[in-house]
Parts: sequence; structure tokens; C-alpha cells
Amino acid sequence: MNPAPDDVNLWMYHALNTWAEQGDLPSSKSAQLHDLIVDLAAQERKRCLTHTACGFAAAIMVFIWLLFVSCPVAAAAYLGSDISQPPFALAQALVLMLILTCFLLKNRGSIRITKCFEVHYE
Amino acid sequence: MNLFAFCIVLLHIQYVHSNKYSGLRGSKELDEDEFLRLLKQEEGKLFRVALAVLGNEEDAWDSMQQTVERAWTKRSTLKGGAIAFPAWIKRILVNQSLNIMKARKRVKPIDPQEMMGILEIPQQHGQDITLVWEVVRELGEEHRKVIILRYLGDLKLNEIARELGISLGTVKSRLNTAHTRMRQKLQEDNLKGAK
Repeated sequence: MNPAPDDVNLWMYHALNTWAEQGDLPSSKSAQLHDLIVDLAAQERKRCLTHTACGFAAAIMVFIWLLFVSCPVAAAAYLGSDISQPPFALAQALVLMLILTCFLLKNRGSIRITKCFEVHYE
Repeated sequence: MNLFAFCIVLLHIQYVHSNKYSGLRGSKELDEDEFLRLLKQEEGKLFRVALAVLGNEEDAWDSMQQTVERAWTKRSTLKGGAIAFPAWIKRILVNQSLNIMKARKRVKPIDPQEMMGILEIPQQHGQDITLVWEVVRELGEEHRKVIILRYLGDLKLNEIARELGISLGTVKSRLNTAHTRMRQKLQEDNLKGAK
């Protein structure tokens, strides 16, 4: 028995959506979509790993470079010369170390999330 | 000066880092397994929607692949998790299908009779959908687009007008024509059933 013609708007919506919901993708096409996602996920993981490695390498290089350039004590040790230690240079080195420590501590939480994030929907 | 440069570098790293994982802090991003599970539930329906919008299996499959790829790369924009996933991915599919439709610029409109052959009609609810497709066949290609985008694509009337490049009045008129014909069809069908 068909519904009242007055409800034709709702009826058409229901008829078309019921038809769409009963659709089934052929298994070969479904497998292709599965493979597509697996490939995209693998590419993403690879890209993420590369970025992280490059970021860490860059950060370490910058840190070492700045340490040698800005800190007369380290520069003196490296060059083998006897340069006095101005209080300003020591203070600057201390601040640099402090900033780096804060930065690493701040990002520790985010790094932990990325390692074990899961989706739980209620 | 060096201290300043060092701070800039750290701020930059922090910015990149926070952008990268912003999705994880606010709403959790779908992982691979969850995405595949949700997609498996929806893929059959999505394919039929694409098929109904585009009218042939080749274009529908292109649309499906583009949709899945886009949905995966843009999954951080999904708000509401698994509950919102069906509507979210369907919207992407409709947009992709409309893009394909515009790009193809079909010279020959799809014959609704041909559509009836492509689209398998299941036993259950088969009569209802047959009636709808009969109305679509009678009304033609222009009406088909409006009906499909409205009922399967869940687009608003003004969105349909914008996507098809027609006026809002034309959209309303075409839907009204479809409703009128559908009512007549249902009445005829009821009368046949009564006899």
C-alpha cells in the first residue's frame, strides 16, 4: 500500500534513500578502495617520519651552531684559545638551554598523543 | 641577536608541530582502521548516489575514488566522528560528482530508460523506487538532476540552483512538477491495487 500522496516529498526521499542504502559495491572495487587507503596511509606515515627526522636534525644543528657562535666559552674551547668568560655570554647560554628544555617539556605531551592515539566514540 | 634567532627557530618548530597535531587535540582524527570500517559501511550507498547523480558506472567509480582520497586527506576536518561520517563523506561525494558532471559537459543527456537498466532494483521496496524512476524517465534529464540532488544529495534548493546554474524558481518548479506527477502515479498505482 502506497502512502498518502500528500506525503509525496517525504515518500520520494524515503524511496530513493532506501534504494541507495541497499546498494552494495562489488568486492573487487571494495578491495581497490581498501588498497587506496592503505597506500595513502603508508605515504602519510613515511612523510611524517621524514619530517620529524628532518626537524630534529635541523633543530640539533641549529642548537649546536648557535651554541658555538654565541657562547664564547664553547668557542674558546673549540678554537683552543683563552678567552675570558663574560657574564653576559654565560647568561645567554643558560637562557638558551632553559628555552630548549621548556620547548621539549611542552611538546612531550603532544608527542605521546601521536604515539598511541585511538578513536573511541560513544 | 643569536638568542632572538634561536627563539624564532623554536617558535617555527612549535607552530609546525601544533598545526600538525591540532586535529588530535580538539577532535580525534580517524585512524586507518576506523576509516576503513566506516567506509565499508557506506561504500555501497555512496556508489549508488554517485551512479544516480552521474548516470554511468565509469564516472561513478571515478567519483568514488576521488571522494575516498579526498576524505582521507581531509579527515582532520571531520567534526563529530563516526556519527557525522556518513553525511560528511556523502557531501564530498556529491561535490566530486558535480565537479565531474561539469567537467564532462555531456553533449548527450543520459536516457532515464538507460538508467533503469543500469540501476539494479532490489526486491524489497522495488515497487516504490520503480515508480520514482518511471516519473524521472517521463520528466527527463533536467528534472532527474534536481530530484537526485534534492533527495539523494541532500542539497538545499538554493544549492541545487547554484550548482546547476539555474534559478531557484526553476528548481522549485521542477520539484513541484515531479511531486505532481508522483502523486498522479501513486493514485494510479493505488487504483490498480484496489482493482
